[in-house]
Amino acid sequence: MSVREMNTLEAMIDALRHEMRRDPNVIYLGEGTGERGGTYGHTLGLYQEFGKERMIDTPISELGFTGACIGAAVNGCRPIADLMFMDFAADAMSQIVNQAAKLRYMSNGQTGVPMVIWAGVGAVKSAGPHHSGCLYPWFMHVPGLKVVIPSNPADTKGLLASAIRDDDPVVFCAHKLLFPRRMPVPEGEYYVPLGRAALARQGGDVSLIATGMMVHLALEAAERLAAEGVQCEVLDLRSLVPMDVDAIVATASRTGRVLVLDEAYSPCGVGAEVAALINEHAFHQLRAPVLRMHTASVAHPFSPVFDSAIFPQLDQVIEKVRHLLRGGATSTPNRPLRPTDTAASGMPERLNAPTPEPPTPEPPSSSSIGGLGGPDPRTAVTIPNQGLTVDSARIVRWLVEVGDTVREGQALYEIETDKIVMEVEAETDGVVDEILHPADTSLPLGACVAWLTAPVPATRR
Amino acid sequence: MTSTSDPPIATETLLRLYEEMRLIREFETRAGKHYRAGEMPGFIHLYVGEEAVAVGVCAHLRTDDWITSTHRGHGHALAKGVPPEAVMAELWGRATGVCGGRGGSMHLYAPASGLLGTNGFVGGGIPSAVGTALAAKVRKTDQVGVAFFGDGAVNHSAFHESMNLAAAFDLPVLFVCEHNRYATATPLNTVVKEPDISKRGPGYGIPTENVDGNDVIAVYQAAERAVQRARAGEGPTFLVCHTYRTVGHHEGDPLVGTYRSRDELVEWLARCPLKLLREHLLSVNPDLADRLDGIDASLRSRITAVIEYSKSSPWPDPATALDHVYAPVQETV
Repeated sequence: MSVREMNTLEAMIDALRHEMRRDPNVIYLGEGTGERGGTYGHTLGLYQEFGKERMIDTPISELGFTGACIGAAVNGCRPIADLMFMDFAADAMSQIVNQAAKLRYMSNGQTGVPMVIWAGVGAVKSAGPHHSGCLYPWFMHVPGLKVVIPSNPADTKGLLASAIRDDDPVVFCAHKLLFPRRMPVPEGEYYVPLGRAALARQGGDVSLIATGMMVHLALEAAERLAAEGVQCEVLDLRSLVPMDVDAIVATASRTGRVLVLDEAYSPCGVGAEVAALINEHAFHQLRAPVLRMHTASVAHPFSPVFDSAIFPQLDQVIEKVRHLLRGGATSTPNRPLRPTDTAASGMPERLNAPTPEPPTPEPPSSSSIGGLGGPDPRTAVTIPNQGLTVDSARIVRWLVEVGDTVREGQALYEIETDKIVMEVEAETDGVVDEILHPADTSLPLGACVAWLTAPVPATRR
Repeated sequence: MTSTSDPPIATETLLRLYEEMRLIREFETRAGKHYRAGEMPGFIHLYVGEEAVAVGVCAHLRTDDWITSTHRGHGHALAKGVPPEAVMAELWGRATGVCGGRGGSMHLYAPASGLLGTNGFVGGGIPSAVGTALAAKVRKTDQVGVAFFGDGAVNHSAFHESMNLAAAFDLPVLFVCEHNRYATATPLNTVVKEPDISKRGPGYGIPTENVDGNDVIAVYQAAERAVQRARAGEGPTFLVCHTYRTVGHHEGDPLVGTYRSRDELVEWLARCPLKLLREHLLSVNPDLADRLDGIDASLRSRITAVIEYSKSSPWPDPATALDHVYAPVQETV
């Protein structure tokens, strides 16, 4: 099987393109997922190939279009309902839970609902309380729904293709931090079966059972712990419903020590479910209680300094593993919040995380007030910030040369990101003094690419 | 019974509409009786008084057209062609029911007849009806989707989002409001500032008609226009059918008293859709009395048999309780 390097967005589009070419009944409904190509650039190019009849730009009507997907599915289509952020699924919840999930059962198997409910999940770049949710445990609780959460581009492609071909409603959790990640992805038709976990790393001492981005945290911890002589196995669940009980039991039985890592909240969550399964199926192989790490049970606070206080951190994971190796029986101060913590103290318990230093503020993007002792009196031209899921940009071409006089709002250069090609305009009048990076350079957002000096004052009459 | 610009309807067609309405009336009346006798599990909402709406609309639908219905949905199921045996046995929770006893009154599904469900949620089926129409458009069939709902649903987001979606994409949908004046026990005019529901259609760019929902001829003619529009690709229509349930909200609920008066009920009983059609037919041709009496008698014995069949049907096997949560496992993927 030939492979091609892709990021997660490209892998998703690749899966959609294949399935939409293969089956004309596959349709895609979302907000800005048509001509615009999706808020994350995750449907780029599909509108151009499949047209507005199949890449349907909907009004902001999550309940309406998710419900419409149910009827369309029963009448022969295979719709994908794109909820953009999983938080927004709350607006469509009755249609998902009371109609889509139950229809096969209520109808005694006369009809199913072959549809995909696609949603971006996870915290990224301080998106705050309404755009960071990992609410998939809601869906795990509902009979009739399947739930998947890939951790890499190849699984994204394979699981999405399988979800589209599945005859039941599948909730597809796309972690937003995965979008720029790259890896070789099988070309052509590629399916990852629902319900199979993947062993991401082998090791005999401790099992880290993880989902989504937490798989990468687990791998990082495993690498660090290997240096101490501790061998961690990392199991990527990939599919939450159906859950790969055999793989969970196998790894728990091999190591006898399990830490579950998941970005959703802990109550009634992935950790609780995995721990219960291990209790039921591998209790006598355990050498320590099953432990779990989740996001603290709070709405996602906005300021970035809160991040390390609510999300599992690498050092905490490593400490948890060491704790497991010591038997793991006593509670540790850095456990995730539980409801009882709040009830007992009346306020959330502080996690034992080091108080984070506030991030060093970016230097002002424009030093136009400079010239009075600043490091550089010139005005920096930087690559503009691009929203939640874009990290870098490539300079496509320069539209000005050194020595040109430019006006505020004039296009200076063109960049390309995962999402778009756009022109970057001058923030101020000036003269191009220096261009630091030629065309075809890829740079992180915020990088300085040129300097402007103050414009030559027009001669007054 | 007036029909102005529309062509006259053949007597045989009217007799068929009468027969459909009588089937529903007989079915509902007898189901209510057995429910009150404590023979059925759960609870049921009867369609008595509103028969003209389901029958007048469904007369224009093919088997492959889809309808979504409400908690008061037995009439829609029957009008769409689901066999009464399968509906009644489902009310009894039997294995021979249309959903094998998994659904019950408010969850009747019969894809083979184009019934995408009665529904336990007010407004719950409206988006699905739009979805069937969306699929019809994508798949280039000339199917139509019909959403039946009551006046209680028109303040739910499902109604508004669906009306807008269908209008925006010119989908072949009929939105059929059975305006029976009360959301359970709440009079519409106490929970809206503008009680004229038909004003909401133009707000979404949807052609809208107020229809006498107790006059099956009026419903038949309005639905004919709406279905033609839909099949011709001209988009959705909103029909506000004014009608009245002459029974309680559900069986066991008082008929009159707290929220509506005896006088109001009597007024509407005088406008019973079966009575109106019968009078109309006899005014055209008094010799039809025998035909009509024959229909009544034959449906009485039909429903007697349906009830016997349902009562004597086997219960579902409890060992199958976990079946049909998911599709059978596919080995191919």
